[in-house]
Amino acid sequence: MLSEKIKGILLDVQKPGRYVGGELNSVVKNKEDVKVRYAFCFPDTYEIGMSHLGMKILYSVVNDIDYAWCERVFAPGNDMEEKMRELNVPLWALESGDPIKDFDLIGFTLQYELSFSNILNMLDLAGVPLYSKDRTELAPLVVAGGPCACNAEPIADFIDVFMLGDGEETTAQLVELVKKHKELGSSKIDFLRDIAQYKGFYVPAFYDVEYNDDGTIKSVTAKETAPEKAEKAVVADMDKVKYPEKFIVPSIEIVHDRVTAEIFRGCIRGCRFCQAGFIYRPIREKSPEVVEEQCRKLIDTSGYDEISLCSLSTSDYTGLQPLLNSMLDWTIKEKINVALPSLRVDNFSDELMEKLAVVRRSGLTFAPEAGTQRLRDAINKNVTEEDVMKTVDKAFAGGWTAVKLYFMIGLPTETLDDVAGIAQLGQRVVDEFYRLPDRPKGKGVQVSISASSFVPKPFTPFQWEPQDTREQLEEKQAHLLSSVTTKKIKISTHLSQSSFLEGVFARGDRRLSKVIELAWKKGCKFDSWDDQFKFNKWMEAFEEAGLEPSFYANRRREYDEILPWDHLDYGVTKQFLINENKKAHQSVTTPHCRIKCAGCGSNKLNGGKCDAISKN
Amino acid sequence: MRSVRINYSKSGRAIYISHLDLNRMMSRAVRRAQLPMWYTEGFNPHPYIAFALPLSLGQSSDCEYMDIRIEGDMTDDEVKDRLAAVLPEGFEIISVGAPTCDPKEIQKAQYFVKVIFADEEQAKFFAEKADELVKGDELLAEKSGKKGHRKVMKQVNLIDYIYDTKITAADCAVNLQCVLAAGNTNNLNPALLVETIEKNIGVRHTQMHIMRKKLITANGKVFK
Repeated sequence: MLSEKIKGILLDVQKPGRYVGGELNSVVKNKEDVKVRYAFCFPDTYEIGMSHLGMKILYSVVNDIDYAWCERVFAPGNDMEEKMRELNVPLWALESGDPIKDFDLIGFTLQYELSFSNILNMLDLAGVPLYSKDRTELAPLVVAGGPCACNAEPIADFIDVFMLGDGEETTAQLVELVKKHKELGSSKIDFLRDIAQYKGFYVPAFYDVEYNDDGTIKSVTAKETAPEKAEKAVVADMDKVKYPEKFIVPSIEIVHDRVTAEIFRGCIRGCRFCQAGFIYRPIREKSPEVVEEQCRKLIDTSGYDEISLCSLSTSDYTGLQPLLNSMLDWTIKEKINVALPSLRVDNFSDELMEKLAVVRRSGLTFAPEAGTQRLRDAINKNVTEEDVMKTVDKAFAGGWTAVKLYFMIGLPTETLDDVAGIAQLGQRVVDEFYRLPDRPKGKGVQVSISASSFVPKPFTPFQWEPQDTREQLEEKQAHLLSSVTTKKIKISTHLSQSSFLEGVFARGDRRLSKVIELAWKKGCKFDSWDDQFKFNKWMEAFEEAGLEPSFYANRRREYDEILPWDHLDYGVTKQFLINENKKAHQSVTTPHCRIKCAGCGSNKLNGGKCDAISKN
Repeated sequence: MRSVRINYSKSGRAIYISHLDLNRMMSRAVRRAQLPMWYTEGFNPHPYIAFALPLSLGQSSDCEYMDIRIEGDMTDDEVKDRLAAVLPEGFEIISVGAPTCDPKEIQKAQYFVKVIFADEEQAKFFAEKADELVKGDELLAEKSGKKGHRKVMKQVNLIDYIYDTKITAADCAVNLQCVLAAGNTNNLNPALLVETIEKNIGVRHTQMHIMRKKLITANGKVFK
């Protein structure tokens, strides 16, 4: 199915297995029987994209529909891109080898802001006009969804339809609408007028944005059939929603190469920095029986020997004990490793520790996020130093000797003392190890501290906060490094330049589309890859577009400013976020949703239902 | 516990799966097939899987061999059926049986190589010159080798690695059938042979398809 031209270049590039398809459980349909062809694009390399759970889910949602065929597309590596451009080979989909410009739908998943330039590059490689306004036909429609769709204004000019919120039901609806309008012979505008009426879809061209002289937004006006506020879609029942029975098993090694089982959506914690913690609300749990059955099927059809129980905070899952009790029976027998990422330090029980020790031992990672109690209170990370110490005690007694601690620097209200507190906490963990009589003998301890740079995100209580400037971040990074006095602590930090750009896009407006186009023309792509990130080119692009990046990243917004994402409704109310922001500045915490409902408002999109209240 | 040798072919899109990835792929396949695998003993038990001779990326083959160890009394036929049902595109099982010799005994391999040129003239020229060169005394090439743990480039005479060749031209293609040294000590990749000939005579192919046909042991028997 691959053309001879493509085959001819495969052996001249790194990892040709990325480009050929044909993996176990990939879906091939008969073109003649298919009415809607969907190119699901992940704007990064195969190894990263194939690790993504959302793609696996939506791939099975579309391919379950008889008349639709979903295929996968990834960003080609630079060596492949060079060959493609040299030989005029347009971007193809892995399953059929067909050029995606001939598809009905080209869908991008927006997982991180720094992948925006890759979207442009992929459209260009496909031979599809970049701007929505330049694509006048019904096909191909360019759609996008995923977490960054909650403020995708920076790429609004390129995308025809955004899909907000949970994609399982809206993706099926999208495919159905495309089929209907294809059969009707509708024009693109007819289609957009139709889809804009439904919950979960956002047509950016149907909103006019006006700006004040100071660059802030004056007004956003809905037109055509668009609602004043576009609401995100919410899947009501996690037990009934489509989950794949088969995962594609890549033939080459990818980043997360295992069975992933989603156990619940949403998060009860309300950490004020965390976008996922707000945009995926309300809490919806999957029952342990359903999770186990899905794991069983996926293991049988994939042959994987590892299962990851995935959620935003795994130990908050009310069904965790029964699930593990039942599942470990067969996983141990079959030598299958069960991994529990995203554990919290305050409810990591002895029983859980024992269960984890039964299966293969992987690294232990905790995220205190901030170095001092005052700052942890400000960001509502309801974890105390004692919680951390209790947990590492257990971990050391259980035989672990390597601990990873995740922190952020640049958090609102942070001082240099808070930064030094990170190193001090790391030191306390080291000291704790040597204090313990029952520590693992004959081994040293290794504490790895990862300090990423905080980026304020939409739909969080920190959406009004200025991001630290690069100079501030670098000063804090240096202060952290100088506060560490032992080799048993290893520190890693992030490039302040890429955090800055991420900050610009996270809260950017529509005018940034121009900047992204200019930067892409200057060769910017794979911006999330440190070795490919071209900061200077980006700064040139801002200058040519006449926009000041610090306006987006480093400016404090007033509560009454119209924010670029205010016409999107993610359930959580602005008043709730304002209250949370005020509490942060007073270092006052908010108890998690099971202790007391904080009234965030997210359950209104789910008929008033939230499992944090109903499963308590 | 007993050893089972599985002879399979690799073709189509599967030729882009590297040897390292193949290992991981097969350990998943035996899990899906629910074969009663024997696990290695030790800190990190894993099913025992070993391959006779790695195949270069991009080449197809009829003579791939994988040894596994199973417990219980599952028949060879059942192993074959179960595995055949779960292998991805591009893999076919040819036979399953008890090993008859050790992979260390492999000394040569037979290949069918199709080299395609831009025109008939180039193909004819290559066929003629190649025949002269492989029948001569010296055909030097740079080959990567090991010096202790380090990788080094060394110059070798490819003639020492060639056992038999048959070269014919048809239209734009040259068919090269050859038996070359193969195994852990001496090994010649047919791609290197073709490229070395091309360097000597100043032509360059547009496409090349290499297929491994059989593995041959030191005493001249077909490996199985």
